[in-house]
Parts: sequence; structure tokens; C-alpha cells
Amino acid sequence: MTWQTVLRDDLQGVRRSRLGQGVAATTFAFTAGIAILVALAQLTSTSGEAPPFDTIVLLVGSVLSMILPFIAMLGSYGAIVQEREHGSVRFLLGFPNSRLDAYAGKYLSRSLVLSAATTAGLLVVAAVGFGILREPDAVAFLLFVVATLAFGLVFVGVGLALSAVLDSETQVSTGIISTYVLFRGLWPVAQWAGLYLTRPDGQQGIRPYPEWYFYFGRLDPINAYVKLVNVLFNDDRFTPLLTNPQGAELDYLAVSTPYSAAALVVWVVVVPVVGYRLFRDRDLL
Amino acid sequence: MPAIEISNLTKRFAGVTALDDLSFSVPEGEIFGFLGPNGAGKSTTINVLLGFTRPSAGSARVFGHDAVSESKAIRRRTGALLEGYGVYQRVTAREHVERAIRAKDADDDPDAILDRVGIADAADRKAGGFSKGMAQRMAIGMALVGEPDLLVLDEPSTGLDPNGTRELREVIREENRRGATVFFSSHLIDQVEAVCDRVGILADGEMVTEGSVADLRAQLDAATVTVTVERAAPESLLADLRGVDGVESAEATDNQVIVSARGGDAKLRALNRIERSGIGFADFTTDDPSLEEIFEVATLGPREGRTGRAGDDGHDGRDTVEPSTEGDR
Repeated sequence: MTWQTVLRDDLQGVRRSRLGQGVAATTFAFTAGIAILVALAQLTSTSGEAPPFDTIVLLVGSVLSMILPFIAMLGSYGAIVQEREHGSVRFLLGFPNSRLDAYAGKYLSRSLVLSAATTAGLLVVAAVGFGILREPDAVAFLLFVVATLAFGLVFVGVGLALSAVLDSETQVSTGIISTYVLFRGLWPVAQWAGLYLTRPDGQQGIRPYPEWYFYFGRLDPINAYVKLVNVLFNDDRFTPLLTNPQGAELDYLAVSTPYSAAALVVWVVVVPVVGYRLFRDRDLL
Repeated sequence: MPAIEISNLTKRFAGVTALDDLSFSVPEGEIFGFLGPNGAGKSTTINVLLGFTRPSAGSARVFGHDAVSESKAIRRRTGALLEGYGVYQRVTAREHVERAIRAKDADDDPDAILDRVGIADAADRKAGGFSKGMAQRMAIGMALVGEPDLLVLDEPSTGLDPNGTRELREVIREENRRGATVFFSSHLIDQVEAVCDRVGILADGEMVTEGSVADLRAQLDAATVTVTVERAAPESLLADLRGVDGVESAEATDNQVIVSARGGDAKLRALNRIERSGIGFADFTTDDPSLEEIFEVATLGPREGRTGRAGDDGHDGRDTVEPSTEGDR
């Protein structure tokens, strides 16, 4: 059971590294920071009425949907490739650690750091939300915490998988930037490209869109997370961050909450598993 | 069961054959010197043994465990100092050793280990600030954790000063006395010769020769023994010497007898006969081939026109020994 020793050793290193501290501090800042600003604004305001709980948590969730993927990947991208580049992998895997021990230990360590920082930040959000804001919803907030932790884990997994599969820090850095661009920018482009390729000229934008458009679109983990946050704190009404279904599209399974939840779970599980399978049989030196 | 058994091991990287049908074994309890020029495939062999690199064909086993499917079991019994390692910059020397202790589930005292490798004073310093020599001492200490049955040392004297190199040899001998097999990979011949029971010489991914240093010497041309005597040797003595098994020639000057002999026994018998002949045995010197020459011949092929090594390149393979020692080894 030496994944535990890998976990412990890696945590020791991450705690002492500027990047590890930075990842934790940034995550905390973008969650607790928003809540603290809201609280300060409320305490210094003369109008009296506090903003609704849902509005503020929706704001926190929307900000996290943009920055958490990058922070999470930054937190894990060096886990293995840096050990290979700096040579300490000769200790890590010269000890009786299997590759699974090393991979799992690193995954858990980087996940723990991000999750602890996220939880700490969301505790501050909760303190402000339940202390000051109007109409707080404990159940929705708990579900939000779970979804946010899962969302972070998706990208911890992506960063680690790239770290395990690619051969240099430069490649992995390119990989995490590409991943971010893919999910934030190229995914909707691919959806539109699909419409242009499958529909006659002039009819590409006509509603309803085919169901595949939403199946594909909401498979994107960022979209899946935004959908869940929107359900919890905006009653699934219009959001500028997603293609909002209308008419017959509202009946698609692809726009349902379970589909988005399942998409997140699939990413959480599949990415680290695929990364490990590719890592297991690679030449590391 | 051999400690290490390499069978028909081949490793190709993107069209380059690093190891080519390599086979050899190392018995338990031996100090085996793994010699070869840079790029011969020594580190690749070690990387396969420890599971960092997968073989393209063939197999490697350590204490009967397969290097691919049972790598963890191999590394439980192995202490490794691998060339090209990097320390954890923000982790102290003691914490490095503690990591090895935890990973191996051992009960060593980290301070005792650091004391043994001579850096007890630096236990609480972060390894990122270490000199190469200090890092090397720490890494040697990490390899010693858990009294491993096999020590794999890849260029272990890198960065060590002469004292460190001597201490390393002492540690290797101590570990070997304890029962550990030592696999000592180096391109530094004198390091290997000083400590190893047997050596294998790797070139271009193939084992070109293998055996004890004495065996390897005997495989090469005969060594020249020059005996200084008080009176000229009679022809009858020279004829007698030429009849000794392994002696290839025997010539005399006024105060020297020069015998060319293959192998230590032949030289010893020739020396004994000269001493018994009563012509006044004063001194003798031998020009045994050094491991350096063996290495050169094994990796580059024989020198053309070379008939012996009678100091022709002035290297330090020459021993001068008092007659009473009755030999040169």
C-alpha cells in the first residue's frame, strides 16, 4: 500500500512549493474573495437589503467555471513530468512503488490540495451566504460544493494524465493550455461546425437544433458544470454561458440535469484511468 | 538462483538498438562490475532491471522476479543509486532518507544512515543546496536503506572526492560482507577493478567479454615478467622455463631474465624456477594488462602489431614486488 507514502511525500513537496501554495491561494481567493467583497459591500452599504444568496453563489460558480479548470491543471501538470525532468523519478520509482502507487498517490495528493483550498473558500462563501444573504438554500449549496469538487477533480485528472503521458514540461504546458482552449473555445466551434456540415445552406442556425448538438455540447465538463450551477441557483433559466434550449429542445435528455451530472462523473473517472493505462507501460527513462 | 539473470535482452528506441540480445547473470553475493564506454547500454540495462524501461525482446529477472511483471517485488529487495537522479529541492537530507525508509517499510535510523555516508551534519539542510558530492552521499545512503539484497550502483563515484570514493568502496565491501550482491556499473575502470569480483564489458549493447579481472587478463596476450638476477641465466634454465605450461618465451640478458607468460600460474611457476636456479634472484616486475587495456581491446579490438604491454604506453599497470611475496597479485 505504498500509494500512501507517495501521497504523503508529494503533499510535503506541494506544501513547500510556490506553485502548490499559489494554486491553493488562488482557489481560495476566487471563492472566499468574492464572498468577502460581497460582505464588505453589504456592511458598508446604506441601502440595507442584502443581495439574494442564489445570485452570489451563481456568480461564484460562474467564475469558478472559468478559472478552476486552469488552476486545477496547474496544480497537477508537473506531478510526474517534473520528476522525470529533474531526475527524482529515479527515487520515486526506484523505491518499491508501483506505477499505480505513484499515479494514485500523486492524484490523491493534488486532489487533496485543490479540494481543501476549494472547501475552505466555499466555507467562507457559506459563512457570508448563510450569515448575510437573503434566502440561503443549504441543500443547493451542498450540491454545489459536491459539483465544484468534482469539477476540480476532472481537471486535476487531466493535468496528471498529461503529466504522465507526455515527455517534457513544455509539452505538458502546451497540453493544459490546449485542453483549456478546447473546452472553452473549440468545443462550441465544433458544435457549429457539425451544424454546418450536417445541415443545408441557410438552415444551419434554425431551431430546434438536433439532439446530438446538445449531447456533444454538454459533454464538455465546463458546460456540464455550468448547467448544474444554473439549475441550482438560476432555476435553469437563461445563461449566457450555454446554448439555452427552447421549444422541443427542452425535452432532450441531453439538456437534463442527470446528463450533465453523469458527464462530470464520466470525466472524473475516465481521464485518470486512461492516463494511467497509457502511463503504465511507457518507458520513463 | 542468480541475483540477476538477463536473457536475450533487446531494447530498441526509435530505430536505435540500445541493447542487442544481451545475456548474462550475476550470482548472489558477488560484486559485479558492469563496464562499458558511454552509450554502451549500461544505464538502459539498469533501467530495464528496475522497471523504468520495457524490453523490446528477451527478459530480465532479479532474484527470480520478472522485471516487467514483478518490478515492485524486485525494488523491495534492491537499493538503487541511479545515474542522472535529481534530489527533491525543498526536502532535507533526513527527509530524503525517511522517504526511502517509509517506501521500503524499513526501520533504519535516518541519522545513522546519514552518519554512515558522512553527511550527518547536513541532515536538516534542504538537498537543493547540496553540492554534487553531498547529494551523491545522500543518494548512496538512500540506496542502503532496508539492507537490500541487491545494490545497483550506476556510476556511484560521480561527484565524490578521493575520500568519498574510498569510503564508497568500504561501504560496498561492508554491504557485500553482509550478504548483498552488488551490481556496480561504471565507465571508470580503476573503480571497478578496485572492488569487483568479476566484470562484464558492454559495448554497443552487447556483452563483449565477462569474467574475473584475472581471467580477462589471461584472455589477452601474455604478460611479460622481467626478473633481475645477479648472474647471467644459463641456456638450460631458459629451456626449462620455455617448457613451463603457459610460458611463451624466455630470454636472458646479463642481469635479467625476461619471460612472457599467459596467466598468473605460469608466471608464478617461472618465478619459482628462476629463484630455485640459484642465479641470484634480486627483484622482478610484471606488465600485467590492466583492466584499462582489457577494456580497450574488448571495446575497440586488438591493437595491431602489439606483442605485449612492456610499458609501451607508459600506463600504470606495472607492479614492482619484492621476491618474498612470490607473486604479483
